[in-house]
Amino acid sequence: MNSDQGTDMTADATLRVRDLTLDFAPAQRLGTSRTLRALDSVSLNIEAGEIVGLVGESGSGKTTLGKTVLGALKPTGGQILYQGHDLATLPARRWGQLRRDLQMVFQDPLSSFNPRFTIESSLSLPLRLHGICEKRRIPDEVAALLRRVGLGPEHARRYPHELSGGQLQRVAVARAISVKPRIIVADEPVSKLDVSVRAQVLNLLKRMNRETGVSLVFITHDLGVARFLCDRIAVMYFGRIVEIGATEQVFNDPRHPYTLSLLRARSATSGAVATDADEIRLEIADRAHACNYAPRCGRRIPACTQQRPPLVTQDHTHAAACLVPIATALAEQRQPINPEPRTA
Amino acid sequence: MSASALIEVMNLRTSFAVGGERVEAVRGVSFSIAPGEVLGLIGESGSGKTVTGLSLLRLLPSHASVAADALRFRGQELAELSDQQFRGLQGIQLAMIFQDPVGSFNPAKTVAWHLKQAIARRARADDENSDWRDEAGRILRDVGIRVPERVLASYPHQLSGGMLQRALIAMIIALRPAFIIADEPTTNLDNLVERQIIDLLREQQKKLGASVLFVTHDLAVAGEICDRIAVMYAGEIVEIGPTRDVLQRPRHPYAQGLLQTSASLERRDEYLYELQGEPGGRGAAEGCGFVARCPVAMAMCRSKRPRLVDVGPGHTSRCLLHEQ
Repeated sequence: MNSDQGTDMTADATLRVRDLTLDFAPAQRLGTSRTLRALDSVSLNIEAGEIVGLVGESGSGKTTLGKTVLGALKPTGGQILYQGHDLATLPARRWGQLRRDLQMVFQDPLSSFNPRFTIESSLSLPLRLHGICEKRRIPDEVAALLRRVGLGPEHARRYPHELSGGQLQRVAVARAISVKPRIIVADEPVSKLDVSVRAQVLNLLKRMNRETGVSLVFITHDLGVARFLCDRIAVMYFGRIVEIGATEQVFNDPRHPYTLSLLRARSATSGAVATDADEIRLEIADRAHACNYAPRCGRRIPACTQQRPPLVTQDHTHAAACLVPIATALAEQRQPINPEPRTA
Repeated sequence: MSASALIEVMNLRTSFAVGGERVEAVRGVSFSIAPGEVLGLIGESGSGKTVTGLSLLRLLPSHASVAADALRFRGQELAELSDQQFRGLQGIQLAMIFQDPVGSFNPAKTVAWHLKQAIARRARADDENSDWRDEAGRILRDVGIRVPERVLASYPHQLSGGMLQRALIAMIIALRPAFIIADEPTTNLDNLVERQIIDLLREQQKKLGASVLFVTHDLAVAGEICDRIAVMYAGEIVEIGPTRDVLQRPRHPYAQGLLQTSASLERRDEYLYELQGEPGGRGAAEGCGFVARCPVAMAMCRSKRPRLVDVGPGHTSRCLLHEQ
């Protein structure tokens, strides 16, 4: 983990995202062909057994990153190194076993199941396709999976619309773990669920991680939930990771001004957050060479509109992309949340 | 129910005709709101919180039937008003902010057009003349938009969700209603924008002195903005009281469960406190609506319907445990 070079092709369980870039080309309007950079040089490791939170607002690229890692979107550039393969360029027909290793749980459970399949058919399909167990053992395996996510065997015969959102999201988790994956990408899996049901699904995801050692990439806009579930957190803004670190580091010692804004938005500090209207219309000559956050940033210096801040490591596990990162002492003064001494 | 209440609702019952059956969405809800007070209505999907709001403003479709022992605005029984008379109150006396601001705008008209309508409506009601452009600019600056000209000339689709919610709040300010129902006004917004809109709503509500029924599923948001909180479950208010009392000393097992979950999240417990089961499914005509999920349910909870019982000053809770 200390060395970024040289270990890329080892067949360990770490998934390494390197300089991942993805451009969307929206429908061409009146001759202009502007592309939208949804991911901009994103680098990130997902270690075996850890839970990484991707946190950001809508449009920050967190869902795009999740989908790209799973091969659902083709990146424009960069690498996704896993088990000796580069998933970014690996042709679909050669994924084979890798498909089984990487699974997804979506935000809206109802639209992620075929409405004409019973729960049993939906759950047995991946078992069959990946040859997880003998054909005659499939009904038992389905019942065992349902039991593991806290549902009774009677749910197997039901159709998706007959289950509540929370029950169906449990089935989605069951489907994801059924093929014994290494990594599950969960995209806002509780944001459509009722408040009293969210805790059930969050506990389930954590339990699955603890029991099976599966890594989770947990995409959310909810910092409280991210803090509960995640070992590390990557804060995204406009397609870039602006801060990444161990969860408590990011919460107690935020270095990027955007992270600090997000944290303050949670607490009821009136006026702590710049308004839309505070966004200054900056003259930026070249957006590719400016900080994306500069127009909203209270700490902006002239250099912020002239160069793109790289993701600089603050200490060996904590990094921020800011030319004027918040100093530790200052952050402590503002956010005395955690009385524990910092190790750095 | 004091005589000074701006809004008084007694035993509101709203049901829908669904496939030859009547489904009761609101089962006897009563509350009152004082002038300038913010009452939070908290609940999950299907709890009846939104339908309660829509019932008050006559915004439900024709297959809904609304009945109440009293539905008073400034002492005036609203049920006695004809539709035409009621429309005279809509907007300038009774207004609504919806979750999705896009639906509150005509997509073919600019923000300027909308604000002009709102200002003209208020001016007609007050029989006064004002230059709508000056007033629109002033109000937009009030809601945190520094360059009103640009927003005035914009069509709804050209604005972000946060800006549009600001423009909608600007319209409400122009109308100066006495009573506003805000239905999950920040739920669709990003974190930072949500924070801004909550601050804005709080500030403008104080300025207008309007009473607000704030409908939400989010306890934290309700805790910040509301003077009192009513928790709904399965079409009933199960607990109502001053915000601080309800959030710090909840008495109903459902409210206690919700708060235990957020407390375990704050403490960063290894696992969160879980309420079993899921909302939905109407409670039986007899018995408590929460019995299927209640961690402390007793045998009689299935047969006896609990009443709202005083558990503190201005604080009532609907649980048979209090009646023992």
